[in-house]
Amino acid sequence: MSIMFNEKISWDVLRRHAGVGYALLLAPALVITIILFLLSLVPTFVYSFYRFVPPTSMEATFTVENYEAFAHPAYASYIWVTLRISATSTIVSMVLGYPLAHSIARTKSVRVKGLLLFSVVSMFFVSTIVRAYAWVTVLGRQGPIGSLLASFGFTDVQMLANEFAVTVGTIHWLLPFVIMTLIGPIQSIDPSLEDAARNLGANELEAFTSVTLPLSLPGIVAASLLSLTLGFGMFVTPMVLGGGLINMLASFIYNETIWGNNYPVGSAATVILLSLATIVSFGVSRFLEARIKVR
Amino acid sequence: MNRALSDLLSIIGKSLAKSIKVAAFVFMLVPILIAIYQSFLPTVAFEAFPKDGFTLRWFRILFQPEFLRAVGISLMIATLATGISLVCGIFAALVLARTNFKGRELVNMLFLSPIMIPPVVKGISFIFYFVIIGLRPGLTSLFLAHVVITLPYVIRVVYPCFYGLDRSLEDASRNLGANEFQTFLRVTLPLIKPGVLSGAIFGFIMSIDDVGVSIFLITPETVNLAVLLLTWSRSIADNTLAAISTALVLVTFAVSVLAEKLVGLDSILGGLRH
Repeated sequence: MSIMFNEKISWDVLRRHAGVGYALLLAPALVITIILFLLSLVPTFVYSFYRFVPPTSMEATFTVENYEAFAHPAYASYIWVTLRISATSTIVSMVLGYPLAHSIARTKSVRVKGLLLFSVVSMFFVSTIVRAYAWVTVLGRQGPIGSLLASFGFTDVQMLANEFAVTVGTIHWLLPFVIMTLIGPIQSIDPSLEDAARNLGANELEAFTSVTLPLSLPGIVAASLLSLTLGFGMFVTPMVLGGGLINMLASFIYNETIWGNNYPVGSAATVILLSLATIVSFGVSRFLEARIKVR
Repeated sequence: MNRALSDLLSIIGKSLAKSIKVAAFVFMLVPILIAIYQSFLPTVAFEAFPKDGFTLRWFRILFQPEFLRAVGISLMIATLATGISLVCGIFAALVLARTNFKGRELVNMLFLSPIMIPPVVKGISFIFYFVIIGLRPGLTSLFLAHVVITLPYVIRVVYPCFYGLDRSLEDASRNLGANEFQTFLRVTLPLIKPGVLSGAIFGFIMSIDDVGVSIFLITPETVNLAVLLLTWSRSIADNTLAAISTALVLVTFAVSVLAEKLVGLDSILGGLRH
């Protein structure tokens, strides 16, 4: 009896101590995330309601004029360009990425699968600037395509410093993310379901459209939303391939604050970009949660 | 639908999927190969067979002091930031995996939230915030910002490792007289080593590759590699950047091979999944 009583006490003590210990272990990461990250967003929100006083200062007040500025076509175009490039790149990346993800998920040979995976993963590891610059060498006037076109007499084809170049670079950057996000959901579809469809007389296309495609829909939605979120924030690729002519929101924010010293408008643009990214990534988690509940 | 037509469509669809697969692969890899090829050409003009032969002169940039200093700063910041993130992140992941306190989901979401926020948003917020708390742009602010960049990746990669771990091994260690700390160091840590290594690789790469945050925090004396390359890509029109690309791709390739040998692709995949 006394042993049991002692045991109960010692467990309680242990549990209480464990709680304190766990709290201490969690603290450093929590402090870093709250003090350095979460709080750092506050001034940006506040400044977005301040008034810009040219050339470099701002007045502490409450105004929505920085947001209203984005109703003006010149500023609204930054949002539209951002949305257009992200959306186009997402669609093309899905179309390009899905078949590759499908075959990586379904390859039976361990070697081939490893090799394909290795290529995609190492692609992801290659520096963003290197990947954007690679397209400068490909699309440049004197690059392989440019010189080929020139030999046919087309000497004035401009493939760099335009929205096309930025979109191509963005697709290239997003593709590994899309493939990686799609592999899991496709892999988790039971292959015997497709076999069953085939045994019931469906051809490859029918088996795909009636079984694989609908079942991988959650993965497709998740990958698209992720790709959109990442696309919204593109900074390096538009800088390298846009030649300063294609300004997505991220480069607009950088130019306004660092070169224009207009912190209020830069902050408002930041809040807009943050809202776009948050709404879409919130959509991801909501959607995935809904799927899990349905299952 | 007509059977014959459907079968025909199926065949077309299948070959279409196959060609898209090849196209995607070519699209991903060929530009990099062209940039590498370009680094050995004497001029920016692309020639399949250069009449003046290949050259190594663009690679001289790799020994230039400005470049080397930027590499040094990037490596130092990445090492320090990833180190701190590993220490804090492993413990945080352990608590998240082993306890079920109220608000656990919220804390988890908070830890991972910096990943989903565009780098430029973090960058501009850091300069405003650091001015308020009296921190000047420089190595310290760059380091702190990079801890925020690397920490979520470390937590995300290490966290799942604690679930696959056989806890009876830890109990055995305690029963044999080891205290909590010894058990963690000698049993738990070796068991989650693949996760820790991929967390380290991930954090390191994210830190080295970052431009969006760093560009707001650097000073002329503390330019890191990624920002220097962005500046050069806009100002230098010869094959210098191609040579640097070749060098970086070689390093990346070595890291990928090493990562695959050390931890396998599966645990790296955990970090890529959002």
